[in-house]
Amino acid sequence: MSQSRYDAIVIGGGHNGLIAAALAAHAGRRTLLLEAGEELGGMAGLAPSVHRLSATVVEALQLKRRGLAFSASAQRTGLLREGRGPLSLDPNDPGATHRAIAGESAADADGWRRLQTRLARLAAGLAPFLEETPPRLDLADWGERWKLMKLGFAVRRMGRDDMRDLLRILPLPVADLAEEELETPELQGLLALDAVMGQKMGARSPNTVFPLVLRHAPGAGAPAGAAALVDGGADALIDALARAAREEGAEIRTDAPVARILTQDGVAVGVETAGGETIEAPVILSSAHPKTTLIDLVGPRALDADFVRTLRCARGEGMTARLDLALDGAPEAAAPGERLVHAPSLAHIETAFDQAKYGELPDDPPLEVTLESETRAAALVQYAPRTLRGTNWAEAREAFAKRLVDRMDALIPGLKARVQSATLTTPEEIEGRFAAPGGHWHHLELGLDQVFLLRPAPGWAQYRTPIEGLFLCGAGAHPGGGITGQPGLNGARAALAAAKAGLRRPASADGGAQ
Amino acid sequence: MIESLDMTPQQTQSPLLPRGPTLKRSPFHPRLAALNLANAWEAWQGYTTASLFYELEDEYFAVRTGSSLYDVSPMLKYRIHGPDAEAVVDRLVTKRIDRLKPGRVAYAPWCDGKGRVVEEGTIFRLSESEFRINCAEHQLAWFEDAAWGFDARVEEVTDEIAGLALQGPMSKELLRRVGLDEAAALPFFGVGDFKTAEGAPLTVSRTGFTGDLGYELWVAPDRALDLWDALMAEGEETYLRPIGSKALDRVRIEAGHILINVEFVGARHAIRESQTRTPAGLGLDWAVDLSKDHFTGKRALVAERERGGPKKRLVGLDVTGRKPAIGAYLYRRGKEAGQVTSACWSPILKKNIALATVDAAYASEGTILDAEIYYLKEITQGKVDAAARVVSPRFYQPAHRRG
Repeated sequence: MSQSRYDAIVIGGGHNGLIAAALAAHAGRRTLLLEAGEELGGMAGLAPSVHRLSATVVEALQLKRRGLAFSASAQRTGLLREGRGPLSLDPNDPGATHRAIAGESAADADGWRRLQTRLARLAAGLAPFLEETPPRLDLADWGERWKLMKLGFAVRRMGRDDMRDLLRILPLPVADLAEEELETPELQGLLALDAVMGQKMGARSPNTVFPLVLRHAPGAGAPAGAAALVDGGADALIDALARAAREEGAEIRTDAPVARILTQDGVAVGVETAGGETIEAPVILSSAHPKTTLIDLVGPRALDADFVRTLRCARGEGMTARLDLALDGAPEAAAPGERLVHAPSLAHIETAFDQAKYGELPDDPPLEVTLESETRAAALVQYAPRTLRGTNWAEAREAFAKRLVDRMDALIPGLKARVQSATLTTPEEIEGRFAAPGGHWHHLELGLDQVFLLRPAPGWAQYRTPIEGLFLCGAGAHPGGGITGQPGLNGARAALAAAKAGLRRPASADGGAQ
Repeated sequence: MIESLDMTPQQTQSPLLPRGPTLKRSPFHPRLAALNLANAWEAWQGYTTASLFYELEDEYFAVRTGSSLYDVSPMLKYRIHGPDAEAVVDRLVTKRIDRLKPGRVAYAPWCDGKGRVVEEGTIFRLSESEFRINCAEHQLAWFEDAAWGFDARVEEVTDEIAGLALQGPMSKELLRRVGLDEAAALPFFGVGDFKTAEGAPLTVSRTGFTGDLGYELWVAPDRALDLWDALMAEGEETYLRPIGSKALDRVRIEAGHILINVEFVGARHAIRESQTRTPAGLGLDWAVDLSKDHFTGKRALVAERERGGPKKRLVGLDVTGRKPAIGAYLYRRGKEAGQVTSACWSPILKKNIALATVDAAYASEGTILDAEIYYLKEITQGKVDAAARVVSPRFYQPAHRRG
């Protein structure tokens, strides 16, 4: 039954929006989720696998009871080598991985294992930050001071050596770390590609170790240090989350784009849909891009000029495209579920980035190919600039897709013969389809200057916005993109806590929160 | 010296002074230079401007009892125009602009998101869709940020408009004598377009920085000298004098007008947070409407009001004795209470007056503070202690300024 007044409205039906809606409904709020597209899922569908879902989310929404399963084994990675078989890394079989690497370098066989343990340990040190609303740097406020101290202690608990290690390597270019620890070019390439995937960063860009460490943060369904894949990937996760949201009592409408967030004297009062319907609610949670939420839906008239400038300047230019391949069967060289990586060296990645940062399509872009099933494969293409120099995507798209298929055929023999169709999703399309200015799949770049206290903007990292009652709960908020569910979790918690603390003005007498 | 006036700015460039281009000369410069017997100049926003012409006291009394001309061409001027111009200016400043009718002027500060004053100035509404803002510091980047996302354009027009402040009780009479009766009849804070006797377009606003009856006249630079000559030709009976910045500073203190970089530092330039002020801290509460639509800084100013107001406030001081309390420290029962930002002896009031920033606790009128005044005693520094009574900073508000 549709009505025009709710306790909370969630904008966007990606995983973060669904989590926020489910949590708000679970807390007893009459909740409406509005998704612009025909289907739920948002950008989650662009990810070939889900391996770092927050255990807190799984627990809070009882996702396992609601049909979410985790595969017992971690994802295998094959490092593609032209003219040779792939170098296979299987986290489930450390012995085989050791032997495989030892064939290239005895030092790296030990080094790789040591590095994986080290990254997992450092990531565990960051973990307490990920599900916490970042503090305000307001030392006059004892609550904020206490939170800073707690986070300080959490880092201190890592021990002095790990803390020093973490502080030293976080801002490094990943290439420096790779060269310090490894000598096999393909392993160095893998480390760097994992660090820069999705970002406008090259192997030698500063602070690329940070996203690499974040990638090793613990996820649900796995012991510390290991990654556990969600069975069925993003689709299964979205199904489970939609089920959870509906079962908790949230109403979900698809094909319902929001045209405006309505404000009155700086307070959010509801939304107006593209269809012209006005829906009131004292709490609005937006999982949409922060720029879309604030600049497009709220509008600069209700915001401070310097805040709008800060938001405008937030970096988030998409550099990653996705190529979907429909197959009539798996090529012999690859097994379903396996991830095949084409990043033969640091120089290879950096060269491709150099071309892309000047708006060119790389001659030989690094790739991460996942065989999702016998009949479906997806390749993440790093780098594909949002804006091309001297041409545009409408002109370049088909030729680039064809070039990628040819290149993949050389790397994965027999692939091309199996390809029925190839569809390229460019950053430009990501921007349009998901209302994400720039088409960056983390909404905003995950650089050290745009995380934690600084995400999405300095001074506004508490999921709140200058509009009272309007909260952010998407990838543009801390801790950022990837399918963790943490922005949705933290955003919903912040909104519920604010409503509970009565920090916002009471809703009108005849409606709103009970 | 006179010869050098004929040199171009390029010719006066010297490798010994590697400080960028020489100061520009205002369109009035040829007349100002000829009259500047004191040869006292200073820089103002890249222009050469007169500090003094011949005698401070005479220049001062021209403003207060006759009429005066002060070259305001270097003042920064911005044109904001387009369908959304009203929304842009309304979002920019603390006053309601939807209520400002074409042909009217508003004075208002504008703030950053933290509610700290960026600058203040006069806002001319020239038509439904065109505004001009006059102020003392460069604002183009800030105004462009304010206009981003709106259908409006911001242009700096400083060099396109020459300005002359005609101030003093005889200024209205002088305008009539040069045939500008309609301009003379402008209401207080009115602005309009007129024609000079020679037929040149002229914009006149009933505004000023002296607290006296007065106007500001705006013309194209190539008409500047004609305007000057026409006014000076009728100046005998209205006691018309060109004045420099020294005389202006004295009259603006009497009027209680604040000056950027003296009473406060603009939020966008301040190195120290402590040197910035909110409008309430500068005594500009009256120019802030917290019930209007959103403007930049509104949330911060509402929060400040809810906290009970600013920690420091600008006040006027009536100081005993004759020594101007320039830079004086202020104490209350031995505890530091604030500092003087501007001070002078007011000849018209026969009072020793000052503008000061004090802790809010000491800002109520009637509070007596102790001023520690240092002054130059030939070659040594002297010190006097004086009592300073907190008063309204509007020291001199003659009824004829609105007449």
